[in-house]
This record gives sequence, structure tokens and C-alpha cells, in this order.
Amino acid sequence: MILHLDNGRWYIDVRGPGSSDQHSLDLSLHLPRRLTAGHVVIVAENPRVFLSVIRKRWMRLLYDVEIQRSSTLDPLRRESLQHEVERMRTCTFSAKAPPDAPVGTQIFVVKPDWLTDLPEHMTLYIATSLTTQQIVQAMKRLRRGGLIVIYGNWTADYEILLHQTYQ
Amino acid sequence: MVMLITRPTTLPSQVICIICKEPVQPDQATSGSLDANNQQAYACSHHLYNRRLWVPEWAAFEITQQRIRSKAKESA
Ligand SMILES: [Zn+2]
Repeated sequence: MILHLDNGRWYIDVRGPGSSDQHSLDLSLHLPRRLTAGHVVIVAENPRVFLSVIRKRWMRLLYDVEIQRSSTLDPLRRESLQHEVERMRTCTFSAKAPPDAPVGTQIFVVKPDWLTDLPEHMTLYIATSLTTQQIVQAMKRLRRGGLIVIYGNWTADYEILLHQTYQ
Repeated sequence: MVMLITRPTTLPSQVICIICKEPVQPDQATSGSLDANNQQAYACSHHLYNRRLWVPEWAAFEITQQRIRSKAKESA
């Protein structure tokens, strides 16, 4: 579901409750769509474990995209899938926040208490529950026109998102 | 995954899915990449798990938008 906020500062997608397996699958399928927009931040309870799951799914998806590319004859489709493969192959992840993350990192997987060190980003995935204060912190570096994707139930703590979006 | 949301009240009635090109209700849509004008583009949520559709359609959309952007830059 989208909370379509054309007149606001950010866009919000709510993916709703589900298992962590479902969330990681959803996120790994969605993530390639956000790579060209700018940096991506994923907030997870255990960044190392979450990143390892995402990486595995990413490699499987990459393999699938390569197969799709080699089996298509349509030139536009082939070229765009080639771009997709390159983007996915060269994408860089880190389970650390700056300044500890390697230079050139595109996707940062961070714990809720690391939100003070975020880089400027265009996409924020919230894969764990956050307090209002943590949300406010994370959104400080979210660029205008950016997207917030929330996994799990919409709680009262998230109301601040709507409030801030229209500020 | 199903989500019930009671707010906000400013939702538009529908957005256009870049995959099936049909209008779709916001509660059944997913945000994807940005278009050539840096506006948010959307698709029906149910396409997400159909990776044989989801991946190539978005990839083609993105390269097309990239070309539009380049052309606009050239002519500017
Ligand atoms: Zn559709």
C-alpha cells in the first residue's frame, strides 16, 4: 500500500505485517528499483544477519536476471536487463554506518541506535519497529522526494511520519 | 501482505501502474523508481512477486526514462 504524498516531502509505502522471511524477500525484489535514486538505508534489528539474508537473495535474483537477459531477443529488453545485471553486480552493501562503512557504499544496513550517523539517502526501509524519536532521527537525512518503506504494523509512533511529511 | 490504514485522508483515487499501464488504487500499489522528471513511479503490488514481469518491465522503464532525461539535457 502506498500513502501517496505528492504534495508532501516524502513518499511512504506500508508493506504491513509478515514474517522476516517475507520482508527480506519483498525488500530484495524492491531494492534494485531504488539504486538509481540514491543511497539506501535499511534499519534492521540485526544488520549482519539481515544483510547476509539479503545478499543471498540478491545473488539468486541476479542469476535469474542473467538467465532472463540471455533468453531475450528483444533489443531494448536485452539492453535494459544488461544494465540491471551490471547495477546489481556492482552494488555495494555494508552492515555499518558511516564513517565505519567502506567508501562508496550504496546500501547501509544499520541498527536502530545507529541512526545518528546516516548518510543522506533517498530510500529508507524500516524492517524493525522504531520509536518516534528514532524515526525523526532517520528522516533527518532523507532527501526531499525520498521514499520510506515500512515493514510491520503501522503504530502510533509512525504518525510523526505523516506529520513531518506535510510540514 | 495486507495493511489497514486509516490515514491520511489526502490519498488520490488512483495511480498508474508502469507494468500493466492500468490505473490502480493506492492500497494496491507499490512505489518503484523515479521517472525522467524525478517523480515517483508505481506498479501494482501483486506484480512484485512475479519477477519475470517485475524485473524486465522496471528495467525497461528505467532505461527509457534515462533516455528521455538525456534527450532533454541535450536539447536544453
Ligand atoms: Zn499493474
